[in-house]
Amino acid sequence: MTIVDKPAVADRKKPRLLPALARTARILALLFATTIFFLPILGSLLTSVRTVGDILRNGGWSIPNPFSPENFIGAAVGLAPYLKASTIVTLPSIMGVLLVASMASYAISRLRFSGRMVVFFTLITLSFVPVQVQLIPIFSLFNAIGLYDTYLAIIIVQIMRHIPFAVLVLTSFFNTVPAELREAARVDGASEWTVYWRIFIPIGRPAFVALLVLEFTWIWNDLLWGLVLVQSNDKRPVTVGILNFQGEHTVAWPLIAAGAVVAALPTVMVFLLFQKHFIRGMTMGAVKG
Amino acid sequence: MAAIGLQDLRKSFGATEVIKSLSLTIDDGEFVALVGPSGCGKSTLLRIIAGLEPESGGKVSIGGQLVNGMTPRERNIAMVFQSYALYPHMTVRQNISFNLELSRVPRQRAAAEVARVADLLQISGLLDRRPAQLSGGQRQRVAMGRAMVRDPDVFLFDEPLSNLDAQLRIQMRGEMKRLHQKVRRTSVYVTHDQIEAMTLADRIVVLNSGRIEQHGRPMELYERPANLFVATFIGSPAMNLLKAVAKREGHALSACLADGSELPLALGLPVETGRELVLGLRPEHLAQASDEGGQLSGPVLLVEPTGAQTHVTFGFRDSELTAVVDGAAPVTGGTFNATVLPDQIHVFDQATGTRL
Repeated sequence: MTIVDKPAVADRKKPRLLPALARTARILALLFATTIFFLPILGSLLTSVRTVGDILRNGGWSIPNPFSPENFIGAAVGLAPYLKASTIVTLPSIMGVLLVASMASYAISRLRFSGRMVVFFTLITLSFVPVQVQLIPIFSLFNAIGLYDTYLAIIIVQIMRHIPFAVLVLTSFFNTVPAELREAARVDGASEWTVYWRIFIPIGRPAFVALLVLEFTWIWNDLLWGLVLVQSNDKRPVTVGILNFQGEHTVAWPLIAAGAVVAALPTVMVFLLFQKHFIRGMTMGAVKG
Repeated sequence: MAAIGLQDLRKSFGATEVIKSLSLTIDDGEFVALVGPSGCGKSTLLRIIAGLEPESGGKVSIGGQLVNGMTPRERNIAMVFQSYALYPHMTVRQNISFNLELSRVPRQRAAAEVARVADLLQISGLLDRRPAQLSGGQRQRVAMGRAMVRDPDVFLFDEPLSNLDAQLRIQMRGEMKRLHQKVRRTSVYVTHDQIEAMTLADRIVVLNSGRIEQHGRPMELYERPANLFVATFIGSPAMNLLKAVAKREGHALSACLADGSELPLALGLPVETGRELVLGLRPEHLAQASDEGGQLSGPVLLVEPTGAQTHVTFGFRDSELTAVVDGAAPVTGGTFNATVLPDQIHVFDQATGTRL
């Protein structure tokens, strides 16, 4: 009589169990990581609809009681002048970055001049300089030339700070555009400016939109330069404005949280508005005419 | 008048000289094909004529006017690129009218010109599409339309058919030939395909390592190649080559092959006994002989029927020769016997490679 070999049966089951177990473990790990990343946002959202008393009584993570959505109105009203200042700073900064970086990238990518790669690498390495090292020199410079406490100071610094990354992205993109497109435009009678403006800018739309979303988020969310270069309350950006909800002895946590949500709304809206182009820009490959 | 004159033209990239003291005249209305192997300088030469690449030395003239230093626009040339280089974000209409817009041509007149060219090229129904929505042949026509609409003095083509499949290439070749017959503008056409050059061009210029090996009418190059390079470059299948030594007895001249056999050569060749030669035999001139009646015999190595013709590769001593025979004629047996007439043998000097 032959005894059925139990290990053989177990072996036959293993191939079906193992992939399922591995898949479940992967999903659980991803869910755990997502929860960890989402916790701060969840915490902000939760805190933004509570009162200080509720937080002090029930701790930081309990269900809101009472539910206080009026915090958003208070935060929006309180942050309105700062939102205006952020808008005045962010929009020209983005335009400046895209304009200057696109022209630089076009020149580096398409024009053959001596020292082209030196210029490129110098621009890129500028982004490696820690911002903390730049604080005092820039503050002294703008103070000396009379630009301290002006919108222009923050705009200039933001443009400067973000040009290297934009040049890196746009040069890489322009390098994928076939050289023959520029030559065809030159044969058609286009000047270098026309080639840049009429051919490369429209073709570069995915890259520009991806940069626009990223730069908007970074510039809008910047705290440091708004603190250092501006003193007047009406010129301070929204990130500094949120700090005003912090008093000398008390902290209005619900207002700070609500303010953070209000301040984040424009960046979320920009992303939603451009998300199709943003994703295309971030995942684009070679350009085919 | 739009004749092109190249005088002592030179071009170097760093230490590498790619065009070496080249002089050429292209007559008004002539269709000239520049052919040669990869890296011979044909595309560079075209780009210098276009003004896309500066010359390192020499003169370029178009229509009798010196154009050195002029932009492509100032030279009034139009160019069709290998990849067509259509602007992907513009419609076909915008692609064609772009250069008119840059020239500030009034809108109404520009629209009329676009319509005329579109009608000529049969792309009127495609004007509102973008290049990504077009087939290869349609893109090629749009590129042609973009070149034609500005009524240039000179057309330049940089391998415009190389991205098309074989059948479409043959079709577009015919259309290009008809178009040239209609517009009769000076045209310079770069190709590595010698069949394209033979069928399209009034004159072929064969380039090798930045120099002109020979230029002339297609059949002139085919029937009287000036040297071994042209002889083996023009013609498909390529010309067969055999080394030999000349032997003159009175008026009679023959070539002694390595195995001791002799092939009679044409009378009147300026060759003395003992001169080392290379014999060139066109495949279609190797006629299939009856058994044991051939001057050149050897085992059949490969038979390639193409329909109307059959290409037969057979061994001859240490070489392989290719004969082209009628497709209806059977290639029998393991041995191929070929004969060739003396007048059909091309004779080249073995040392210099030049035609005798």
